[in-house]
Amino acid sequence: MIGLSLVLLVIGLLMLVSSRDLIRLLISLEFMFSAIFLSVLYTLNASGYEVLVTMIFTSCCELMVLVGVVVFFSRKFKTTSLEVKESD
Amino acid sequence: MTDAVTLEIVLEGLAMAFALMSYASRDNFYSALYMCLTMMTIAGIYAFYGVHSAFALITLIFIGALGIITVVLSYSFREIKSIDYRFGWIVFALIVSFVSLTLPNFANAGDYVDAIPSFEPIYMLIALPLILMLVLIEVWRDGL
Repeated sequence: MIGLSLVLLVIGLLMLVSSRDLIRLLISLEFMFSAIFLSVLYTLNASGYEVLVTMIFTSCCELMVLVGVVVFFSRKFKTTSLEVKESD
Repeated sequence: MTDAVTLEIVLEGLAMAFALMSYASRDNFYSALYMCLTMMTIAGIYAFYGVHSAFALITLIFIGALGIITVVLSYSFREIKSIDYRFGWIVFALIVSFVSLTLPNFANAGDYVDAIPSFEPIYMLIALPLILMLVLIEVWRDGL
């Protein structure tokens, strides 16, 4: 399980580093959150409920913040791309 | 190899495969769909370890709400972009996972490897700052 969580974490970080728009950023964060909570369940030997409550709160907060950022970007810049154009 | 071990290996392999396909997909829509499949297999792993409530909640909340919102957002802002694949990182992930899975087995093998701690989560704690430092180097080298 530790191997899987590490691989998921590295894939999430990889997507985060190479992402050029907000949607991929959101997907990469979901991967990293699931990897960390998978490892928490294993390393801390916590019961499922503790991990679940933390997981639901943090994931919902992260989603709300990123959806807000996506809506703001689409209204202001008409795109979700993070690339800076030369003309800007 | 018992059926339980086989099931665990299959679930973990599927999760890794879907995550890699999500990274490799150039289309955000398919990337989000593969993310949902990864979440499903992770929910299966929770169920495998006896946390059945986690399976239900991940299926309902993560796939039902977060996954659907991500899929809808990715379809609304659908863009197909070229991605600079970094195969060195994928090799690094495979090496780290291999080491973290095999070292605890070596630690119980004999006296000459007593220096290797058998406490498995220590490898996660060692790997996390390493990964963070590598990401910092990557960002510093290529820029944000």
